[in-house]
Amino acid sequence: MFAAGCGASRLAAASSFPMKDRTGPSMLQEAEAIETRALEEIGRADDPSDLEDIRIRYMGKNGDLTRILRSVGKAAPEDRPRIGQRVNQAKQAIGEALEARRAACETGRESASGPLDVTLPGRRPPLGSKHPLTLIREEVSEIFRDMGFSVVDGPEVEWDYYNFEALNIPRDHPARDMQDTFYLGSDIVLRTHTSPVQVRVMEQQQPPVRVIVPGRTYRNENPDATHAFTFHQCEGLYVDKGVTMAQLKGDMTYFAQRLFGGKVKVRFLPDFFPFTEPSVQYDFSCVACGGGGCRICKNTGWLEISGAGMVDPAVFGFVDYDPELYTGYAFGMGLDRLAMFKYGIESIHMFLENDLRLLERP
Amino acid sequence: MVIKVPLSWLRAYCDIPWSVEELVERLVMTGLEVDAVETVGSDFEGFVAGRVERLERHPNADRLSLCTVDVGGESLQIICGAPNVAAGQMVPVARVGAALPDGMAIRRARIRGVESFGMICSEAELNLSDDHDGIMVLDGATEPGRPLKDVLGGPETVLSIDVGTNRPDCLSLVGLAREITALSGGETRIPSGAAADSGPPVESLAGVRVDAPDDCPRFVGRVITGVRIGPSPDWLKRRIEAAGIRSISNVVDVTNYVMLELGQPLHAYDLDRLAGQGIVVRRARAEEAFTTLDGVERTLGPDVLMIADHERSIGVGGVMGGLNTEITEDTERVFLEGACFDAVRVRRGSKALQLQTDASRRFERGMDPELQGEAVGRAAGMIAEVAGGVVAEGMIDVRTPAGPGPEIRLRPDRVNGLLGTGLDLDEIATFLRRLRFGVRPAGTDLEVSVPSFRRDVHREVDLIEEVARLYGYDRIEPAASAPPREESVEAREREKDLRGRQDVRRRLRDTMTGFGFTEVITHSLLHPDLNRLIDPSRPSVMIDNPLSPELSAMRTSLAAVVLNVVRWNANRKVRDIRIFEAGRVYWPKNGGLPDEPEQLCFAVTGQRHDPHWDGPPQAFDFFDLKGLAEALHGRLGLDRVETVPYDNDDPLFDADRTGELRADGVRTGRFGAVSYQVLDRYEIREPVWMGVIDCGVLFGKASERRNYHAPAKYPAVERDLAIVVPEEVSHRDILEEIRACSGDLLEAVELFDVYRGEQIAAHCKSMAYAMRFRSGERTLTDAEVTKLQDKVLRRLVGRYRAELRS
Repeated sequence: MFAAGCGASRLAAASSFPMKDRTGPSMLQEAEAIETRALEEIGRADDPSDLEDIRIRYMGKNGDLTRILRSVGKAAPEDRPRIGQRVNQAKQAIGEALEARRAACETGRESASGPLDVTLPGRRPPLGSKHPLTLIREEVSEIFRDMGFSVVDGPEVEWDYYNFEALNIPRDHPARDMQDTFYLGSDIVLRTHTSPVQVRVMEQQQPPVRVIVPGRTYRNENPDATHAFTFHQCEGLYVDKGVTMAQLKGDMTYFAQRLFGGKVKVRFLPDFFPFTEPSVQYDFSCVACGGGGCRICKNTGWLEISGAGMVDPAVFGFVDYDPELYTGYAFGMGLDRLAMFKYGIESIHMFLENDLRLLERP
Repeated sequence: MVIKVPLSWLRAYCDIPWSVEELVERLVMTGLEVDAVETVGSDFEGFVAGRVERLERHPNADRLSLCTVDVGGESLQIICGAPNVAAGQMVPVARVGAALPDGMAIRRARIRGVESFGMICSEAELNLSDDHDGIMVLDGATEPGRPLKDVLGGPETVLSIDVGTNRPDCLSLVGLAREITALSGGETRIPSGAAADSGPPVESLAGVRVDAPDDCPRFVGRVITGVRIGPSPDWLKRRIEAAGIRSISNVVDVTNYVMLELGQPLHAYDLDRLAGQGIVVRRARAEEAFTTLDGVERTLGPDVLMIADHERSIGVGGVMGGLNTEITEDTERVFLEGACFDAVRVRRGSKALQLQTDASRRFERGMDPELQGEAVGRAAGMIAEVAGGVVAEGMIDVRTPAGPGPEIRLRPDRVNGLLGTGLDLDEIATFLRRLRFGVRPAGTDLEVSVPSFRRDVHREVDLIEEVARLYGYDRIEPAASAPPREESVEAREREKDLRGRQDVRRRLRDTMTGFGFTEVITHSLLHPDLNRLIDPSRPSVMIDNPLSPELSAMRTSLAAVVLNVVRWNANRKVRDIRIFEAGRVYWPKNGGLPDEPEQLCFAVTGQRHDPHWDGPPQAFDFFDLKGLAEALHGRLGLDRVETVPYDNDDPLFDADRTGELRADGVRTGRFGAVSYQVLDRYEIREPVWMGVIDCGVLFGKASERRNYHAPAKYPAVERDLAIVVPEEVSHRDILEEIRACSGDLLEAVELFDVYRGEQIAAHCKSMAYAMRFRSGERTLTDAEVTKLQDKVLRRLVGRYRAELRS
């Protein structure tokens, strides 16, 4: 390694430029002997001041090695390079040994003097942490990758077509009221869910399709205790021949148990979304109380997670998939919500507040 | 849409063989979300009806009345503070010893020196509604002393049910009763729509013309003559109020009652105020002004459907009636409207007026076209019952004949194939029949006809959902999905590409947290001024309908939002902040969607290290930042990373303390001290060091794998070189010279000291370099290296007037 931190010894060396030549075969042996002797002495020393004495004795202005270097000019010209090289080699070896021994002597001491107080605070390396939304996203992605899903993304500023129309939510449909929307002109919205990426993926790719889409979504809602205008979702889509609702339930159960533990159960309730039919609301048995009822699950034993269902044939119509040939399931999930359950975060607003006293976990 | 369902009322249409808890559970399992279960009223133990006989002002308090109340055989003196109390009223009285539903006990009390023997109650105090503006006034015909429970009924359980937009049929008590009986197997009791109509023929009293048949496929009207407008009887009032609708008058209350009962919105007009005793259904004219029942004058356009008489507009179709023909105390003849309006047309009207009503919400979800006759007949009969009068004979029914409902072929294979179940034909047929679908076997399939109230069902898949609901989602057994199929080469390539980029993102975050930085995630929306402050030349992506100006633009740089986090935490006394965010910014593009490039932004305040007892604090400085930024690049596998002077007049950075990062000659970002101008604007009082990196370049350049190099076989020769150069010569200049003339043999070179001061000429500095030479093919000789070293020195002397420091 080309290590930093030995600047002091190099500075000393720098001042000795340039070097002069000298000769004598005995010089070579002498250099070798000096090196051996010095290394022995270094090995025996157990105090930094002894080490400093050794350094002066061998490498100081009148030190043994310095003396040889000065007289190298007396040697035969053909011997000079070899002697110079050998002396330099010895200097380097002794220098390194001194450093190593000095570090060893100082290890376990707060300073060169006084007894060691092991209870004094140590120097900790700074600790950074990932944001809980990143942690949950990475964990969710990992689980679904294990199940054969790819992780994809799409634009947050999205065409109305992908956000609504191609998901079977025409203009003038009351289902649009389910999602208060930020508009940027008449055809562009801030996506209200990650579902538009379903359509984008299916446009690009023939079945089988297995993707999840973690990402940021927006609702034009005034924030209150449980609502925010920005939140983070993860969409999932699986389309192939013979995909069933029973598989949706099985896969969501696998996911829930990987994330929260093997005892978690999944419950399906009928729900309505224009882009799935049948549609479900899926709940996990409460991860805090195990289903017995507590404050987190409002004594119901269940945590509402999100919506899912079998892809509506109308959506397949928009991407030219044959609904007689293929079926598929789709699901959403709120990453904010999962992170709250997973990490015991109490308010959805803590995520984007970025209070470092909270985020910097010990 | 949430509807409130008083259970005792619901029981009029079906038997409920379950406890309230079971009922709720079953409704939830069938797809009707129950938001709340509340109790309204109480058993009213110790409450009676009383007539206010006399009213005097309290001798010691202006706002209090001294009432003498006949509670049946005795008179009580009761002090009342309500402004609406008046002599002659029949009122609910809590007698001494009674307890209000909220638990407060009524005692004999002395109020400002006068005794009071009970309390006259408001609806809120009786737990009937939230109305505590004044006391409740009962039907005047009630006998004083009658127990209040006999007048108002006992405690009522009210469910709040959230009905999805796909099930408008469940926005009524009868509709809910149908769902319940589909589960229980019981009978639904649907009230009769036949009214005793002994009056003159309706056509002789009123006429209807529909000029916009697409917007209004059906319009039904009936007339009731000789009505007396007055308050509703208590039972009627009680039911609609428990369902959350305010009582207005007997006729209006009936229209609301029938809407809640059957789901058909109705409207009552004063027939004598209809010009020409006729109704015309047409589109609004451009800029047409109209005052709705709520007293607001609104401007409409041709997108909106109007109800008019022969002279003027009298209502916005499906949304709200007009003030000009509303029922008043003097109304004697009522024209009752029950229409089927087009869902989109009503939604446009509702949006245009920015007004959602119980009627508009029902219409925009789709109306059963067979319901109007029944509903209008039912209401006409009830009006005659509660407001007197005679129903004119027959009904006006203008309609575009609706075709027969859809016939759908349902394949059991498809049912089981989609659900993953093993249901047989009979089970499937039974579920559908219970939901009132017509079912006929057709070979191995079923031929299913859809009742008119289920307008949401028109495809096979819709029927499959109905089957699943009745079967029970909880009975679908979880199954594992098929293992990932043998994928195509193309699919693997795609996945590898995706992973490459995702891995860079992850390594970026891992590296930054490894450097001791905490990740933050901020909002994408901010005030456009902040964008302009940081990046004045770039326009912002703007929101048309923002929540507030502070959230009206999308960020064009992460710096703007990361500085917010710095301020927020600095204000909370967080010292030595080290944060980063990796996320998208939003840049407008001509035509199409904006670009959403990704940036990394990091910010530092305070000290280089955590404070420690063993040494003085050291402020974080430019070279900490530079080292960090370059190390990050190196960590991501970027080659030839360097920092060059950044001479752009970027307002984010202090021009004297900023640098531009390059990898392989391409700019990847910039860093430096945040300018005082920006800090002032954020009201940050301490120096902030910041870097902004363009992740797009990183994604492109980060090599996914770094090659390992075998350790060198031959020894290295190290030489140090200390030179004195003029101040304006940069480290980079010297480095370039050293590299240029030592070629491949130079393995590494490192600056280890910069010195100014004694022994060094003015405007000069000493720079000391450690060089390491090595050949991959042989052991270098001392002479060879010395030659190289001399060459370097000569070049530096020639080029930069360098002198060897001795």
